[in-house]
Amino acid sequence: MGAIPRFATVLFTIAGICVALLFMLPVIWMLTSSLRPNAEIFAHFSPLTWQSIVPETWTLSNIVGLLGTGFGRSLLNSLIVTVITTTLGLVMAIMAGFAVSVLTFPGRNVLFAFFVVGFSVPFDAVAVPLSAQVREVGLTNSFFGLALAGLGNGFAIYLLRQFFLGIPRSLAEAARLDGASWLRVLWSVYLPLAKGPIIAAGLTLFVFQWQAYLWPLLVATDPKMQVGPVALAGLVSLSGVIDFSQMFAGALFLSIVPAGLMLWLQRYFVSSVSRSGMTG
Amino acid sequence: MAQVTLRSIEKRFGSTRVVKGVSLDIANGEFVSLVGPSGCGKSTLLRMIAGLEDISGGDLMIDGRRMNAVAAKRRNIAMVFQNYALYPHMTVAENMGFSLRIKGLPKAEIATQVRQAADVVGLGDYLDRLPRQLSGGQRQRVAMARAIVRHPAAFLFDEPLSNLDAKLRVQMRSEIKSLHQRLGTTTIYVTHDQIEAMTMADRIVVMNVGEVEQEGAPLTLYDHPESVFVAGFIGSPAMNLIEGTLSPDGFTAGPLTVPVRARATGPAILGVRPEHLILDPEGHAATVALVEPTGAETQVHLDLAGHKLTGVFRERIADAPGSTLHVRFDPDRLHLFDRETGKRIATP
Repeated sequence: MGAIPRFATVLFTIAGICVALLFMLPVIWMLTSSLRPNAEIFAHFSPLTWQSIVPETWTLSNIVGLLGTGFGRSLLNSLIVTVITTTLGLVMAIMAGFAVSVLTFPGRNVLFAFFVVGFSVPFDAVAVPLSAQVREVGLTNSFFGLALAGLGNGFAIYLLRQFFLGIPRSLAEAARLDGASWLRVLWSVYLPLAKGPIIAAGLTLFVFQWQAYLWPLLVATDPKMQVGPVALAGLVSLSGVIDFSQMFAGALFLSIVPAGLMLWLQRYFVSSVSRSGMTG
Repeated sequence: MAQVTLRSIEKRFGSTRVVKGVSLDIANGEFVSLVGPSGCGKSTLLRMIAGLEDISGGDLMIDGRRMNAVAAKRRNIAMVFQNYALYPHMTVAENMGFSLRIKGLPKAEIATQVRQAADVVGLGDYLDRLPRQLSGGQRQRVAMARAIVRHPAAFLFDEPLSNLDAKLRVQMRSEIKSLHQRLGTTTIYVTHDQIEAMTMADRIVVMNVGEVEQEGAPLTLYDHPESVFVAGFIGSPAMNLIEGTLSPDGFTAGPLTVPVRARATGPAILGVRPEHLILDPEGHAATVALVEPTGAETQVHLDLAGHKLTGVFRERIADAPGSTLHVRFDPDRLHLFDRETGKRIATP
């Protein structure tokens, strides 16, 4: 009786590893390509061999060369803008999520619908007119201007609202009777219970800003204010010849930060997303 | 302690009137129970007193001060919720001390007061535990201790025992009552369980469809229900109610005739409590439908001339279903109600 399930388990595990490797292949290729000379990258593509993935010559010159182009500065800019977006955006999303789930006021549901519709509109469609407004108020080439577009994130609000709705209302009422202000109710009761969804919302904001390309392109015209993705794209036009190994190195740097963060916090993200569905 | 006064209190949700002009005077230190079936407005009324619901009309006064527009946190009222509403991430001590922390009391002072309140409800050894590590009864005690620690003007209880099993419910009932006797704090207790109300309260307020049906001491309500609704609601097993007609000859319902002292005539309802059915060989012949011995007494379901009645007898009865039992009604303990209005008919 027990042999069949064990056999099936082994089979599923092997199949799982194969699928995982298949999915990992582009990442592995990016990693190894950033550590080999440019000429080697496409040299072993037909037919595909081990050399297609594993470098014959290992080198750090791509990374050194990349940092020489000012990519490090762009990466730092990305980090600063993303931290601003995530911090302020999270404060806004928490406040908004709490307001549309716990507080009662006329037009609450309309306001929530407004948030939801807001995140349904493709950002690219409004980016150009929005950037004109940012230019008008003199926020171009500033970290705040770069962060501005990512602050109001409808999905983060939605996620937090769904979780807050699942918390028994009597907790807020008990806290109010205990003498707490609404801000205190949020701080002392709701936030400690919502660590997972807050991390998930934070990751959403982080990833949105970290990978942003169009908005930074529109509002950061000064090369010193360039963020990582824009700098990566700039490698193509500046060098004339495309140095794929340097591009892979840049892509690697841009991937490491969110990937590391996601891996570190993934359990919170998965649990809160699945939970938000149930409580909603 | 506080005196709570309600003057024509109204609650409307849109065009629906949930509470319809309720007026009550609750004295200092009194234990008042609001009872009624689901949807009668008792919890809404309690939540309005707490400040958790807006008052649509009328006046709420606490110690003579109008409270309608005063925020919940400024009413100095503590409430024990049906689901306990303990903060799940805080220990028992933190739950109890939360209100004191908000007040800005020094840590040592909070610890002392928390310890004292915990001792009152016998939770001294559980202060470091989280709510999920406690049983239902212990959680209920934490909820009470959290209320006690604030020394509020009044305690509000919203069906606090409904999540407990029967045995624990009886135990907690006594604990709440003895707590009230010790502290003497004005208490308003909402329940749909009339036994809870009967055993605990100084005064019971029976509510029905948003209105006060009758208020009074538990035994007054039991002995002199002013309406069919109260007669049927207070008492377990419920009062037997027989529809019939009043005439100078007495009360008649089909072949059943019961001599009663009433001047009124016309359609009426005769009420008789199960314990006021008396075994008597000269009485009405009734068919036994079901016998439920409880040890101290026997509950018998009877069919008397087509009317389903319940009798509670001190005698041990072993009659099989289908057999005949002779019973009569205690003539001094009969209740008459107008069939149209449902109100009590006065008897001389």
